[in-house]
Order: sequence, then C-alpha cells, then structure tokens
Amino acid sequence: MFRRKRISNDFSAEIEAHIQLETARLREQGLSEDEAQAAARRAFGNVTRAEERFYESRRWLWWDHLQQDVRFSLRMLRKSPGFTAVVVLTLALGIGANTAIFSLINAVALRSLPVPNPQQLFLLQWTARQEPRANYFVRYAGCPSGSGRFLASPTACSFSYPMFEQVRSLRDVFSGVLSFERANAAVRVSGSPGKLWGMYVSGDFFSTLGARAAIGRTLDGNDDVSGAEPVIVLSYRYWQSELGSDTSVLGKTATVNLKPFRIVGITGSDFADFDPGVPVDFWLPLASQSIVNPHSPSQTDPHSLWLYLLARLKQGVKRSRAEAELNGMFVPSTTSGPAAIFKADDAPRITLYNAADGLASLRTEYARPLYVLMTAVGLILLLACANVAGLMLARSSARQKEMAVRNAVGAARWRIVQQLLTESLMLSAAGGALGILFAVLGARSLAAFLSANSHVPLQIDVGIDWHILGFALVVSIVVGVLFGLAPALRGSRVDVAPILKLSGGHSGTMPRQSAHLGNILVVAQVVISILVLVGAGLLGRTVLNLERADAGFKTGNLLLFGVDMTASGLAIDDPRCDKLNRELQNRLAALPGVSSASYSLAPMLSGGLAGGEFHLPGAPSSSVHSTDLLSVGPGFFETMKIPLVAGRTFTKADFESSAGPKPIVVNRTFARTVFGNDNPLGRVLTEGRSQTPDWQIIGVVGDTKYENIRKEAEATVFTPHKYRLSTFALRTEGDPKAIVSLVRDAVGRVNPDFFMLQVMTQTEEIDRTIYQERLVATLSALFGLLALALASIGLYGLVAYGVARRTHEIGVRMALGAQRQKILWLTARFGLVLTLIGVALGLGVAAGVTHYLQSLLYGVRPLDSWTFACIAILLSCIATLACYIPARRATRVDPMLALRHE
Amino acid sequence: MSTQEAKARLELLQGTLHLLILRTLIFGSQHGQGIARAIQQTSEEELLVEHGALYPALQRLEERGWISAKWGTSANNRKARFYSLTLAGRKQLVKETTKWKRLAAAIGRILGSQTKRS
Repeated sequence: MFRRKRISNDFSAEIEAHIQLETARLREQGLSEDEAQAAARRAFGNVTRAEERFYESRRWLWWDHLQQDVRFSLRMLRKSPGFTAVVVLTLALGIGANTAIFSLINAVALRSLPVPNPQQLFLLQWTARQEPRANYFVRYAGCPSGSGRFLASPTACSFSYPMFEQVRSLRDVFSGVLSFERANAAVRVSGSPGKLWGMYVSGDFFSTLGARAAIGRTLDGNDDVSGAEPVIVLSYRYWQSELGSDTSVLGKTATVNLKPFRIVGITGSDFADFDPGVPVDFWLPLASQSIVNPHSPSQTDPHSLWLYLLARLKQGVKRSRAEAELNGMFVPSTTSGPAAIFKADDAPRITLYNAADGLASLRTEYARPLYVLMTAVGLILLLACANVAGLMLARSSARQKEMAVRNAVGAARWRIVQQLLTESLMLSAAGGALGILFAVLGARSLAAFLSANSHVPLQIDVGIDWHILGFALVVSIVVGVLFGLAPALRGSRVDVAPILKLSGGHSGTMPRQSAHLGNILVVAQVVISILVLVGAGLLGRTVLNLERADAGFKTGNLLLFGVDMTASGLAIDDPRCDKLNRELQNRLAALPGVSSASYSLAPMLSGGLAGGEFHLPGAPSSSVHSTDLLSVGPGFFETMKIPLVAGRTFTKADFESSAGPKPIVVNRTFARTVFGNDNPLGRVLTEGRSQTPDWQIIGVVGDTKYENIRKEAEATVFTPHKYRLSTFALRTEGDPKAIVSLVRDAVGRVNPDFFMLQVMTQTEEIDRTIYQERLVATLSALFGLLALALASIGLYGLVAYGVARRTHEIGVRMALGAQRQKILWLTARFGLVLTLIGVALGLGVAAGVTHYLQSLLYGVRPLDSWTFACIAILLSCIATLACYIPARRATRVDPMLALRHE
Repeated sequence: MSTQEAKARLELLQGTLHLLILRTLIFGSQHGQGIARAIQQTSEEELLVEHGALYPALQRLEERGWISAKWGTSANNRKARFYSLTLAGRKQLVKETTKWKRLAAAIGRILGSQTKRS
C-alpha cells in the first residue's frame, strides 16, 4: 500500500532527526562528533526494532499479511495447476448444486411480498369437521394447509361474498380487507388473443396492499360497483414482454372473453410476485365478473364459497384478538339462519395465516421436495469437502519440509495456519465464484423443467439476488474453513528437527491417524457413489421402461394440442361446436405430412382423466359401477391406432342424432368386467343414477392406458365429443413438431379467435407425467457421476501420494531386480483393496435401501441384479484406472535417480 | 551514559509513558527528543526513557487522537516532528492523572502501613 510506505519512511526520518538532535546536544556537552553519534545511537537502542514495533502497531498489519498470503498462495496454486483445477471444480460443483437448489427455494418460498408492511397481512382460512353444504366451493392451492383433500378435517380459504362484507365491517381490528378470485380468460390487447391468468379483485385490493401502479392507476372502489365502466389493469411483465413497454396502451380497449375493457394502468414491476412463481397478468374489478363469465357465482349467494380474503391487521392489534372477533361473527352466521352452511357440531373456525411471503401456491407444492433436494446436495457438498480435505492432507504431507523450514526461520504457528487457511479460502472462493455460474445454469434449467411439466403456467424467477450471493458466500467460507482447518493445523504442528534432517524432498511420513482418515474417506466415497449410481441405474431403467411401455395405441408421430373456442363467444355446449370441430378436423387432415386427424375432450396419458358412473337397466340404482370416460371425435380410434375388436366405431351420424340412447364404444376390459363372456354389442346402460337407458354399445376396442403410462388400462367408455374445448391429435408422417406453424395457420383460418393450448407431441405428454421419475433419475445420475469422479480423484491422490513417498524404496527394489509388474502391484494394491471394500460395502448398503424406491420404479425390481452388477463393474473399472495411472508412474522410476535422491 | 548509570535509574512502569508524554506536552508542542529530555530532567534524572520505545508510543497516541504532529524546525535549526496535545488528549490527561494519583496514594498507604507494622 502506498500509505504504508510513506508513513514508514516518515517514521525513519523522524528517528534520524532524533539522533541528530541528540548528537547535537551531546556535542554541546563537549563530546567529539563520533562519540556523540555513538552515544546517541546507544541511547536510542535498536532502531530496527523500533521501526518493527511501529510497523506492527499499525492497524493495517493484517492487510499486509493477507496480501502476502494471497500472493504466496497464488504462487503455490499456480505451481500445481492440476491440483488447483480439481479442487476448484469439485467445490464449484458442490457449491453450485447447493446454490441452485437454494435459489429455487428462494424464488418460491423466501421472498417477501413486495408491498409495505407485509407482516400485517393475513390470509383467512376456515376448518370444520364436515364439508360445507355449499352450492359452489373452491379450494385454493395457495391455502397454507394445502388443498385439504388428504386432511382429516376439511379446510379451505374460500368465502362467500356476504362473508367478505361481514369481515370488512370489523373495522376496529382490520385496517383493510380485500378479496380476490383467480381466473383465466381470453385477453386480446392487440393482435391475437391469449389465454391469460388473472384475478378478479375487490375495489380496495391495491390500496389495502399498498401497491402502486407503474403507469396509469390501479383499481379503486369506484371501479368495483355494478354499472361502472369496465376497466382492466395489466401486469408489468405482460406489458413488457407482450406489449413492448408501449405506454400508448393506456386508455386503449382490451377485450376479455370478447367484452371490451379500458386499460387504466400497469402494476409495479415486482407486483407479479404476489403469488411467487404463478403468473398473474391482469386484474379486473370483482363487479365485472358477471360480464366476463355469466356462469360465475352470484355475489349475493351465501352458499357459494369462492372468494379469498386477505386482511391487514391494525397497528397494535394481536392476531388472537382478530381471530376471536372473526369467529364471534363467522360461527353463528354459518351455523344458523338462512345462510347456514355448517351444522353447529361441525365446529367451523377461522384461522389467520401470515401472508408476508405472498400466497405461495408453489411453496405448498414444491417446498418439501426442494428441502429434500437441499439435503441431498448438502450431502454432496460434504462429500466434496471430505474429498478436498483428503487432497489437502496429502498435499500438506508433501509440504512438510516447507513448513518445517518456515517454522525454523521463526514463523509463528498462527501465521502458518493463517497462510494455509488463506490458501483454502482462496480455493473455496474460486469454487464459489464458478459455483454461482453453475447455479445460475442449473437453477434455470431446473425451473424450466418444472414449468414445462406443470399443469398451470409457472414463472419461477431464479434471478441472482443478494440472498443467493450471500448464501454462496457463506457456504464458500464455511466450506473453505471446513476442509482447510484440519490440514492447516496439522501442517503447522511439525517437529522441525527430524524433518529437516531427512534430505529427500518427499521423505515426510504421513502420521498414522491422518492416513487412516484418508482411507476411510476414500471408502466412504466409493460407498456413496455405488449407492447413488445404483439408484440412478434403477430409475434410469424405470424411465426407459416407461417410455417404451405399451400404451395400447401408437404414441410415436402424434401431435397434440388443445383448441379453445371460448374467445369466439360460443357457449360450452353450443351445437355449432360440433360442426367447427369437424371443420377443423377436415382442414388439419388435409395438411401435407398429416395422415389423419381426430380429437377428444382431453389428451391421453396427460395425468388427468374423466370418470362416470352407470348401472345395468333393471338393476337397483345403488349398484352403480364406475368407469373412466372420454368423449372422442370421429376417426379417433383410427388416428390413435387403437384396434377395433368387435362392432363398429363412431360415424358422422352418431354425432348428429340426439334422439334415443347415446351410442358408446367400450374397451375390452369394460366388456369383460361388465358382461363376462356375453356379447356386449347392442347392450343398453343407464348413466349415473337415472333410470332411463342412455347409452348403447356399438363397438368394442382394444385396451389403452388413459390417465398415465404407469396405470394399467381400466374399464373405459368412449362417447361422441361435441363441445367447445377439444384436444386434437394429428398422426404425422415425419417429425410432428415440424408442422406446428402449418397447424397454427389452419386453425387461424377457421376462426382467428380460436387459440391453441399445450402444443406437444404424445411422447412429450407422457414424459410430462413421469417428470418426477425423470427428474430424480437425471439428478441422481448426475450426483452419482459426481460422487464417482470424486472417489476416483481420492483414489488417484492416495496412490500417487504413496508412490511419491516410496520413490526411494521402489528404487532400491528395482535396483535389486524387482519386476515391473511386481512394482505395479505393490503400489496399486492398496487402492484396489480400498475399492473392493467400498464396492462390497456399497452393494450391501444399496441392497438394504433400494426398496425405498419401490414406489418410483416401473418394470424393474429394487434388487435388479443386472443393474447392481453393471454399477459394480463400472465403478471397479474406473477405480482401477485411477489406481493404475499413478502406479504405472512408479514403474518408470529410474533406480539411479531414486537412490541419489537420498 | 554508562550501563551502571542506567541501572541506577528507575525503569518506567507499564502504561505510564503515555501519561508522561501527555503531561510534558501540556507546556506546548515538542519533538520526540525534547520529550525524552524533558521527562528525564523533570524527574531529576530518576526515570529512564528508552528513546527507541518513545516513538512507537508517540505513534499510538497519535492514532488515538490524543496528540497531533507536524514537521517543523527545532531551536538549533534542525528538521524535527513536533507533537502537540489535542483537546481529547487534554481530557485524557486529566483522567489519567486522577487515576494515577489515586493509585499512587493507595499503594503508598499500603506500603506505608506495612512499614509501620514491621
């Protein structure tokens, strides 16, 4: 530092001045020049010592030491680039994996709601012993206790509009209460319409949250009255990405399900994080819901539970008091009187949940798996630390002589520790920096993977923020100290004399204790790699089996996409829908590269299914059977290549007639389970619990899997499809994705207001339903290979260190005529034995735990011997290679050089 | 100054050098050599100030903000670094003087009573 130099010189000048003054004084007392000078110097004492004391007293001393250490460490690390690269890469993978998972957790679970005082916001949730007797009842994914489907007592976050008004009247505990409902709608600002997710919100939604508009205004109380001018607020994200941040959209008209709304504002740039990960692109006043969606529940109906309530607690009011006041009002009004939806002994209760972090639909869905993943990557990081610690330990043995010299010339022990720790921290800092890069890539692809496989659109923002940088920094420091401290302490505790007496550069011996530790680390790494690789192998085979599983129809070369006619203003069962479906079918079938086209209500193997009930005519209505149901268009079985077993498939006439029983096609399982060996053709069935015959069987087709590829085919009924929402299936001659733009044009020509949803191939659709298996298989394969790489590095290091240490001995043996093979065996034996122990232990442990994977596996047993054998062989080969390379170096030792070494 | 001479003088107690420097500077700014001289003379040559130890002590006092320094010219026209008391240093001096007097008195009482008893 410049500052240090100046002051130091200044100090020396001052001392010089002192000595001159003293000399002058002594000369006045009559001493000669020489005598005076000598006396003055004597009186001063040791000048250098004074200068040193001055130097050490300065506050910047640690900075100088740090600079020295950093420079020295850089030199040392540059001298062994292989070691440095391996350590940095190992740490980068470990830190990167942790940071990636952390940034996902951060995105869905840790960010605070971007509004003032979010800790005052509470979401209302009710619980009761029985389901409510409601006309309409919505469960909301953002509800803190999950969907409530698996819980003993029903719970939800939905309330009726009259309840909202009641809660709003509690002005002494709440400073504001807002309500909202999530919905999607066909929104068109300019160009073609898009299906967007948005919210209907009460007039005080934005003011209670304290959210401001980026441009224009937000919604207010005057917008939320019936008869007000219909207005819409758009999200910043939508405005930026779809409208190109064009400020002139303000005041323009957008259509929502074809109804005009005036655009009055754009929300602030961070407001879309209201429900982290779930995009909200528009906000409409609650009062306008009846305009957009005529089927929406009435605002006055106390039996429709559809609104979510968020309340802002008044300053100084306790949550318990607010809950007491809420229940004092909620319990009597819902258990008695005309608005009763519960019985008195259902014990309904409202609980307030803090909504400071937003609504977190994703938190409830992904937080647990993410924390499990976090644990897994934490283990990987520990493994990486153990590995690096092993490498450092071996290295510190090789550097014993250096340490001894430094000790002998007077370096304090803490200075040596400090220097070695600086080295470790530099390695971990480099690893952390590279790790952040890995983390960004990893988190992005993980987020993309999750949203590609999700049924609702996701928008997980995994951008780097201070949380993530801080996390990576802390992890790097902890890791650096963790793996660096033990070797550093050991390195500093050297006995100088015996080491310096030995003249050989590598003669330092590793103490027994740390040699044992090194061996245990290597064996543990082999065991863990076996474990993870066996899991990866089993899951990999599962994924292959699932992808090759017979679905009952041909899954290749099949393009699927939904066509939504909502925006064209058609009612859900408009008779024109059937005609439009068939017009689309004809146009699509005529496209080049398409061999046939058909449609159904929902795609096959998409993870969802429709079901229904029926009973045989004459049988009591209590003896209902349940069956899977799918409505399909003409030519569906031909397009999907589902074989016809008996009778016929649907014809055009089946879609047009509405008199008499509905013609249906059933699958083989249905025919066998319902009719046994009797001929099912022409038989009549009664749908649900009614008494009129409404189904007549016209044909039997082969079994197909319906809900997902894992589930065996169930009894299924196919009915004619004539509704507003269809999923089209195109059998193509070549790559299905190649004709997507042609398909878009064809759909647009039938009606520009139709929009296509979820365009994907049947194979992609199947992949989506098995994403968990794929994710776990891919991640465990990655982690397994990582563990294998780490273990190999560990083995390599161990054997290489042994060779270096025994160079002299090898030289003697070779001089005495030992064979090269013998030397090879001598040096590699140790590593090979450790490998064998690790492999045997690993296989044993794996055999003990793979049954936990049972529920994930498909077509492969947890103790699949083929997988176990392959992994054992793979690992042994790589481990042998890792031992062989350094051992071969031992055979190249020149006896003369080795002996002169001493 | 012979070794015998030096042995006859009292070595400074730990931490008292600060107090003496501050006290010396109360008469106006002075350079290091002058401070050393002054301490020796006012103590009637009883105290030994190792000149080498003086400068690091001056440096510490300067860092604490009790004294300030600038280069100037000495009476016999030589360049020297002159130290002077700051306001904070003046306060510190009062504080330490009180402390020291109480300490000296207390120790004196104990030692005095012991002498009486024996």
